[in-house]
Amino acid sequence: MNRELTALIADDEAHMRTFMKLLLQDLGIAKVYLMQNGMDAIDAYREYQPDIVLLDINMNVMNGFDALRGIKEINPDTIVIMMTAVSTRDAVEDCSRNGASYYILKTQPPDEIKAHLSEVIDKICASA
Amino acid sequence: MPVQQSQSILDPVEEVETQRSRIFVVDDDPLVQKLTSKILQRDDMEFECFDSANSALERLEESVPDLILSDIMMPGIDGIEFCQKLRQMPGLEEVPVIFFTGLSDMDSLARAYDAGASDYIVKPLRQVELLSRAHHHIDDYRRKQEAKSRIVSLNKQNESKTKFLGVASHDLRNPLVSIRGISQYLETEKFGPLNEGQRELVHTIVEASEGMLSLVEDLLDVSMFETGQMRLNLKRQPLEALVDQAVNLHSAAAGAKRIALQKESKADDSEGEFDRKLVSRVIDNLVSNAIKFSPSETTVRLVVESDVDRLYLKVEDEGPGIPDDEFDKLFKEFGRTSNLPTGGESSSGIGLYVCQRIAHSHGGEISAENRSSKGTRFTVALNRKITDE
Repeated sequence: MNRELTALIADDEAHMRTFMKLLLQDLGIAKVYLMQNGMDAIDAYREYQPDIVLLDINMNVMNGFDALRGIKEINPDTIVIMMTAVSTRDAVEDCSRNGASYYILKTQPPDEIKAHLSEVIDKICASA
Repeated sequence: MPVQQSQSILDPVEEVETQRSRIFVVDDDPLVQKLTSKILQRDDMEFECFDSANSALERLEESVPDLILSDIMMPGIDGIEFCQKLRQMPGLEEVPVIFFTGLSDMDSLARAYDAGASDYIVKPLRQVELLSRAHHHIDDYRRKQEAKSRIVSLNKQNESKTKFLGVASHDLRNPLVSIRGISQYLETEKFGPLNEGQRELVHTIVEASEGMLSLVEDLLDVSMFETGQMRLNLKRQPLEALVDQAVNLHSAAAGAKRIALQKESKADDSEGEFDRKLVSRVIDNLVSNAIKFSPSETTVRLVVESDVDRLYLKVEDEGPGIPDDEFDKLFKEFGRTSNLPTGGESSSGIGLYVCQRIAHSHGGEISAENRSSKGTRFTVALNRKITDE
């Protein structure tokens, strides 16, 4: 790893932010920025330019899809992972249509979520 | 949010109608009309008389009585045709119709009943007979109507219960995911070593949140199925992979009770079209049940079989078996048998109901039988290919 990776998490549920932060830190992410809504996520992205962005879909003030578009406007190459509690085909298709790189299901066992995140991080490191 | 005090939780049950009974009398004979009127008047009943079926039908378009008394032999439309016609009219399917018959037209009674008649009275009319039959049919009709409207209102209440269940389970799920995930982290001791007591407490939190999460998932599925929102995410995949996954997932719980978990494959090709998440849930539910109700030092076997069209998964345990008279409870919502979990686990009785809904949604089946040797065998049959639902 050439440098230490940073991440941004936006979720309106505090426990989810804590949980996802734990997973990311466990995977060696040095700094994790926590935001409560899409609007703050875009501001934080502009300021910190993190390597990975995790966005919840249903948030107050601004939802995850709008935040995704906002962040992609700033930098189209940003790796964005959407977090969803439902695995319906619609939800998954919405994620990819809006330009998300990946999506994770919140209700998956933590090991599976971690494995998924780990793959993404490996790819970022490989391309860096 | 404050609870609205003015709204009652249950719809008020409709009050039994206490108003006077309304009767239509249809007869071309003015004498019969007169006599009938007299009898009904004495009993304080409201009534309207009609000379012909046609005029009665016209009136029925706008007003529904509690009882219709009609002659059979009438010029123009006769009583039988009249009855057939009114039975087709909305709101008149159940209104009692009593025919006046003379001894001479007893033969037409069979046709009258076929046309939807409720009863008959032989002329000459007698007050006691007319009134007692009228009262009997009116009471019966009103009771039926009341029961019907109660069913409608209960169905509505059940629907909102199901919706509530869905919303509540959905909102409970995310916090549970976090509680489970965070407590699993604590258990790994990455934040520092735990002492014996702390480890036990953390493990209890992990197990309790896992149990609750699976219950919430089951409830959410029930609500999705019952409100018709469940959509299957079908993909072609091997059933065996899901079984392997379940064996991995449950081996720790089985090990803790000294139960051996074995997979046996009798299928060369276990590929089929199904929703991975839902079918996994069926397998998880069956395996965790088998572990829950088996004594230690026994074996739980998962057998995968197949034929040209179908895949079968059998989950066999060496537990006490299901009491013969309790098989009907197994797949019912919240149905529990008298068998108790052997390790103090909890059981909600929703799991097998969900399994059945999932199996049916895939055009498959689930069944249970006691094995001749010892224990129970659950069999899930799934079609390899799902044809149009």
